[in-house]
Amino acid sequence: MTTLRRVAVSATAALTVLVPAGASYAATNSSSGTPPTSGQNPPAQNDARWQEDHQKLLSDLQARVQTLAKLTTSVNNDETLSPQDKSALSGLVANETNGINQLLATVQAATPQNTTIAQLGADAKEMVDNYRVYLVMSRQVHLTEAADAQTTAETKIESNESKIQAAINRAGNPPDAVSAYNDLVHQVANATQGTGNAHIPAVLAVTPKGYPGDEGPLTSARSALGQARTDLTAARGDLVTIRNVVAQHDSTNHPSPGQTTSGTSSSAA
Amino acid sequence: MVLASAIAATGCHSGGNVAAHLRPPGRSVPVAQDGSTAAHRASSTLTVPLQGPARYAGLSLTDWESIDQALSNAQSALAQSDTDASHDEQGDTTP
Repeated sequence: MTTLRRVAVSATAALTVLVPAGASYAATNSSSGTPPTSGQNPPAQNDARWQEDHQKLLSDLQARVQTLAKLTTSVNNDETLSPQDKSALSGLVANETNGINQLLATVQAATPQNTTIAQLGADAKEMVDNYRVYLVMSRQVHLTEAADAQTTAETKIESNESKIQAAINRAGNPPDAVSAYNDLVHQVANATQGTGNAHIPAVLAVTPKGYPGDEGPLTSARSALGQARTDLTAARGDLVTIRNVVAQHDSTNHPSPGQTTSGTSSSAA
Repeated sequence: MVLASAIAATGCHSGGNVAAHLRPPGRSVPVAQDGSTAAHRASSTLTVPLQGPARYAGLSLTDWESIDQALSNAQSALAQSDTDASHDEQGDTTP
């Protein structure tokens, strides 16, 4: 927000903006409890309050800058994000980072002489409503990462099902392994369907300004991904069972050399 | 990575030897004069190979690690999403 724009902001307009957001950033004169009568701070009267509000806003903005930096790193380093999701998230986070940094620079330049308490409140509202770093941006990143990570796990297991089945066959189809394999296939199919129900394009289409009205895709995606991950956890348990049963079979049927009665070892010695 | 780590901790890895892995603790490995072990000689003659696929239920160690890493990443991301959703951004603006 420029100084010129700040001058144009009336105290009445600022009050209208601030009231719905709760007791934020000096909707009233802190010393008298009455609304300010102009956009200018009475000299000295609100100085302590101005400093308090200014510091709080700076702190809130810097926390968002740090969160966005973490999101940027997470997106860049995530090896299971699809190229299109990585590209979409990178763009969203970059735009948000740019906007928050601009707002931070404006607030850093603010002084009691060029910025009223009401104007600090308007900046705070802009910080929240125009960016929604925590409630929209962060959730978009984390839900998309979860969806793509789960898709990776599902694909990996599915692509190996024939090899897993062959291993069980070689072990003589132990009933416990066969049962675990059947459950594995069932769980992975459910997980794949669940992850697919997390509509990531809709998640990425949620906008800060549309929130909370357009929160639906975030909530439904979280629910679908949570159920799918439960299925995947069960599938992983099946894999462990199969591994243990097959290994036990090997132990029973192919004991260590000192225990075997096969003559092949001695004949080869 | 828990599962993969557990696998690694057993000493199993692709191309290794199941018989050697399953030997009771403290049991010595017989070594022939030519330096080869009985396990090596046996594994070369058994019908069912004592190689990685059987030990890992058909999956390579890389497969296990890939699955475990993806599941771990998903769990972490979902937990973080829950933290995100509980954030009170309006509260941030209250001095």
